[in-house]
Amino acid sequence: MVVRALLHWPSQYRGQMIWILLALFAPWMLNVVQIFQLLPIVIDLTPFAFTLTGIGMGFALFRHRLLDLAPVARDVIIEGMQDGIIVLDPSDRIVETNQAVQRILNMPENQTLIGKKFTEAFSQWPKLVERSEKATETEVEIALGTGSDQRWVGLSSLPLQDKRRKAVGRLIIIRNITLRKRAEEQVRKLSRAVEASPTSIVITGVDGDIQYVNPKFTQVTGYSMDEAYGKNPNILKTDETPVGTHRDLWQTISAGREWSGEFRNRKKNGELYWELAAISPIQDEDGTITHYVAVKEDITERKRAQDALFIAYDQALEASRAKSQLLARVSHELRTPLGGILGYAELLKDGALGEITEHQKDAAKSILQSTQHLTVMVNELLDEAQIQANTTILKEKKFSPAALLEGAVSGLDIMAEKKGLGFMTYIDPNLPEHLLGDEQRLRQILINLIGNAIKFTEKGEVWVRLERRTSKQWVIKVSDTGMGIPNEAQTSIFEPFQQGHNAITSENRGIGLGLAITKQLVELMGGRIRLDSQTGQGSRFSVLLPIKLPPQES
Amino acid sequence: MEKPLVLIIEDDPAQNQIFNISLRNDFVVETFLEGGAAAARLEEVIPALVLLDLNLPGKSGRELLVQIRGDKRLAATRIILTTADEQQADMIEKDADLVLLKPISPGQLKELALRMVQKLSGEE
Repeated sequence: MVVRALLHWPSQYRGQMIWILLALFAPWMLNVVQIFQLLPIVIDLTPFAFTLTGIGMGFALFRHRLLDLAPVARDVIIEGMQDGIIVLDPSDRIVETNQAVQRILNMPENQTLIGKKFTEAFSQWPKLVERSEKATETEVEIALGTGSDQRWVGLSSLPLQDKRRKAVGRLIIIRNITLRKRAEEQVRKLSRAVEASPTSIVITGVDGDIQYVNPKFTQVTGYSMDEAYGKNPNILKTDETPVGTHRDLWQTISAGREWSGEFRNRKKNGELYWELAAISPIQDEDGTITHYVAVKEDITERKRAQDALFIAYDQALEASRAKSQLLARVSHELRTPLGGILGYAELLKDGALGEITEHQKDAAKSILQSTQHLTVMVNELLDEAQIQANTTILKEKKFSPAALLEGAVSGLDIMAEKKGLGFMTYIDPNLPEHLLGDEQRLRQILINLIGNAIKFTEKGEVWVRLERRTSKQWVIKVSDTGMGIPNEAQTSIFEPFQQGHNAITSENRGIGLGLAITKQLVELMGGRIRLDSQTGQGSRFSVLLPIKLPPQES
Repeated sequence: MEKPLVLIIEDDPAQNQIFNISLRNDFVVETFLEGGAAAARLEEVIPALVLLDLNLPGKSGRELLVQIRGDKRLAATRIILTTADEQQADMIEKDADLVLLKPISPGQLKELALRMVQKLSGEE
């Protein structure tokens, strides 16, 4: 066996071996010579023999580098390799393996494979055995196991030949390619995602040359991958893109930042469309930009809808503005002549235009009264028109409920007295001293309700109460002991031009807009108006309003 | 006692006349039918009171208001604004001492005007 090995081993080992053998056998041979007296030497040859041993070993050491690193290193390399090595002899028996084999295949380390036939040693992996028989230098990929335990193994086979080119077996190399396979699968998944993406995706190099476009891009622009490859995305550019967009884009992404914006682009067939694009740089580990990726979406439809919306909004604004302007003009046209009539009538009456007779004075008073009435109606009409046109702007100023009440009832309490009615007011002490709101319009509401109460009550009294209802609400209550309002009329009474009382007497004269305006104002303020009434039993109007507090004074 | 000076700036002739008659017993009255002449006059005198119509042709009432308020000489001058537009009245209250919505009663106007200039002479 040793002789056979000598014949096969590389020269280096051969040299070493020969000298080792000589060195070892030297004492033995010389002893033989001595014992059998083959040579006419009588002295003890043993020391001589060992000298030869020494020389032999020395020779082996230095000339053939017996204990040198290289063979040791070779061993370390083979054992330390990540890939598994299996050396098979011509009858497929395992002659040599390394640790990696057991590791990759998850086999117990102590189990020795050497000496077994390949099919026997790896019988637990029929696939492995099967593929190994036909294996070539090209690596084949084999999946072992299933599910979460699955591993991938790459197998290649190299024939081994001796010096005379005779086949002396095979070298099988197996590698653990599980990680690589997983990475490949990941890449494939990403690739599929990009291919199937509902948005266009374009990948360019650092200079903007297109390296990849996905099918959606082709669908939108009409350019196929072949047509787009190597070109710059500028082929889509038109002059209608907002100025500076392209420059801004380039500056942003070449500085390593993401950019998004809109383009007005042209398809291959010349059609124009709007595109929303988000572009990011792709960097390697050093931070150097290697590619750019653009995700684009066709927003032509969306833009069209947006534009339509803006136009509609503008038109609505215009219409509203026109309405306001009309109202202001109408207001002016009505109030100016009224001013003239009222002014002169009063001056006449007061004698400022010269002495007048009692008769003339009465006439002037009459004109004045009518004018005042007309003024009230004009006010109500214009108010209603304003609310209708949604141009009423409620004020939010600090006011005192007490002052509000006082301002509203002055004049009206005298009217009630003149009619012989009791008139009582009450302010809840729990009501905050100051509230936030439109005092003028609240006064308007109060005057309307109180005025109505007095108008429709012949005897008894009129009550006005300002109370706190809850922590967030307060209420204005105006009640009277008048004729009441029948159930059927209780909703329509808040509508314009309705009256509870159909007779047009001088007292009930009026166009009946007051309550309609009151209700609208209350609702504008975020409140509610309620009516409790029975025919012949009087009425109570309750106006519920949210409490708005002025900012705290320090 | 010398009567205080009031400038009436109102483009409607009837209204202008009515204001004049209302105030001439208690004030020295100067009337203007448009804003340009009024603006010029305001640089010459210091009225105690200005009665200003917001809807003026030419130099608008608002411009005049700004001019008066921006003039240190006229710091003590009281301003009553008149207008036929409720919303307009709401919006510029802070620059005027009082805003009256037309139609305006002459009697009321006289009373308010007197009250205002009485404050001037420190009689309250």
